[in-house]
Amino acid sequence: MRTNEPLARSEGLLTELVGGELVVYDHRLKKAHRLSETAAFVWQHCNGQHNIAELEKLLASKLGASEPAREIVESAIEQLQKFHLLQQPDAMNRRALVGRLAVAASVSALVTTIALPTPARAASFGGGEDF
Amino acid sequence: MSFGATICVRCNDEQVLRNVQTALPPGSLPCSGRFADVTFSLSVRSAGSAEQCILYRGKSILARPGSISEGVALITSALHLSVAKHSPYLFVHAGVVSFRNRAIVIPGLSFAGKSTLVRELVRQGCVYYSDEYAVLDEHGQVHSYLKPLSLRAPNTSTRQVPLKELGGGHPRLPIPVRLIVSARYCRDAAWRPLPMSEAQSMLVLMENTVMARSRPQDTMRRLSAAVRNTTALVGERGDAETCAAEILSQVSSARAERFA
Repeated sequence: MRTNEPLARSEGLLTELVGGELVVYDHRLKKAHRLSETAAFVWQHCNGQHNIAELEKLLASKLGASEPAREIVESAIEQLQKFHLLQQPDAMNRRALVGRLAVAASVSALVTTIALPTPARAASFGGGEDF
Repeated sequence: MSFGATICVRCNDEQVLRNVQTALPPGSLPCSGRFADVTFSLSVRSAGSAEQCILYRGKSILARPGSISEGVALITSALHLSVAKHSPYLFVHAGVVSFRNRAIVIPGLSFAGKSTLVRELVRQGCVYYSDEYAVLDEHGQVHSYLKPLSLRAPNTSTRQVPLKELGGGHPRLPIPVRLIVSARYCRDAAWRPLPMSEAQSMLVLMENTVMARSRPQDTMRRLSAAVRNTTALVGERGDAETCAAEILSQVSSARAERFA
């Protein structure tokens, strides 16, 4: 396995396919993420064996020529890293990976995230006390 | 017992206990047996003109309310939240009405203005289901949680709208969700909502699910069933009357086929 390449985290995650997009729950961070269809595609192909150029080719074959696959892959990888959905590379590999990313600001959010509430926060009774 | 949660309530004053009994969670039934998911005890003592209250959960002191009425309010709150925590159903903090036997779900935390919008939707012809929780079964269908609707006045006092003004307290049938409205109150805002994908609306519901952290798998399974084939809208709303009329107009016309 080429360990320098992006590798999706799997431990401590629950996933549910919802209307073509992916909802991911992170047990460790108590957060839920929604991955757009393209972000989900990129994440599911981050198996540690595809470099970014190969991910671009895979995505391009899915999207066709009309979409900027390079920008989307770079943005997706950056966002997946930010939300801890990729295995954390060691420091040297992180520098190498980040160095290959030149994320375009024009690509909209591919991943959105929320922190899940405690029971007291998700209730309107009692001013937030956790009964 | 309410929604499958068994809760024991104790008080050393019969009159105070009767006051608590008038505000029990919806569908509460007396049950026998020694098992309870949680036990609350309210200890009340009058010392001269002063009232002393202590609220316990199990053997732990939970609060020392300043008066008996505050103690009753606090234990009532505790009962509702305990039902949400211990029930096998999934409790999502949301207002719910039924329109043509399909649920309009308005998730949101306190002070988001959802009760006002629920009240207005009911006034315009919807059937009241809840102003507090959308209760979801394993198929993602919504059950009613019938309690008086609480409207907060500008001075933060609360006005209760009794169930008899909301179509009565008779049980409603469980219904599927068809519209999810994430509407944040903003004075003078016009209701110009944006559509949300099913996954986005699922995140909004998760953000308001009482036991999402401790029952994530069940939460995801039920919510994904609930949001399937729904329409979801997000935006700022101003006046509740106008917003409710526009919501009902939208679901009556453009989305009519989904509500048929």
